[in-house]
Amino acid sequence: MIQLAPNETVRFVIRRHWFVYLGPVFVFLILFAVPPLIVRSGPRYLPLLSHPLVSPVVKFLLALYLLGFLAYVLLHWTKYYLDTWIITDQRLIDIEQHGLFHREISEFPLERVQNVTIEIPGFIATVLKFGNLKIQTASHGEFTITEVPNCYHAKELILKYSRVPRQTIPHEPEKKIMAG
Amino acid sequence: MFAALLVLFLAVVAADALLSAAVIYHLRQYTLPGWTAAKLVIPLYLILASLLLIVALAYFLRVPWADYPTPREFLSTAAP
Repeated sequence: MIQLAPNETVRFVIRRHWFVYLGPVFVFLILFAVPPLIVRSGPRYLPLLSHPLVSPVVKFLLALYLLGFLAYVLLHWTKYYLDTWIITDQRLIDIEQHGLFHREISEFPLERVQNVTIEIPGFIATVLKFGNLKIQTASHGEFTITEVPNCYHAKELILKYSRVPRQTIPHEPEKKIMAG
Repeated sequence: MFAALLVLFLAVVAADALLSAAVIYHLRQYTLPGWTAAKLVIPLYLILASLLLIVALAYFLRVPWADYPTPREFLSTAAP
């Protein structure tokens, strides 16, 4: 759990752009649709599947498969959901969810930011408005955040709060956590 | 046949329950208070998983176990 300082406010929560997940979603759709289709239309080509001794077992195995598939989808969605970058008015927190039990959290204060570069890698990224953010810091080297939606807004926020002296940042306790 | 499928059923359900519990724990532990999607996904997942479990159990109970040949019967019919 991320602990915020008493005078710290979350300004922006970034998750990878949905376009990056089109490939896995397509695979999930195939894995979801194909086995029930085989069970439904399979007896036409393989009459053994409609045998009264075989059919209930096949349907039972299909239900078990879908149960496991659902858990697998939830696992992937959790990895997407918990893999975030949180920009507060004081620091940038990078949470990398590599697997269910492999979580990496790094952060650096925004006052150390020296330069922010946006890279829009190609036609689709230009059309869908996502890109990579490269953040050069004085102490932590370079941070790269890939496939960021709304990257211009993120860049503006990072630069804005990196140049504001800490004492002048207004405290907004009611907006402590930005919805995600 | 019955024993093999029962073992398979219990093993899959146990593995699924462990994985689900771990994922739900992570979602509850690591989401910030304002993140609402996790609060919707967890009950939705639990409802769908329970339905699939009931469907799997129903199909398991509909299998005509008594009609399957015993290994001895199977071997005697398969022998030349």
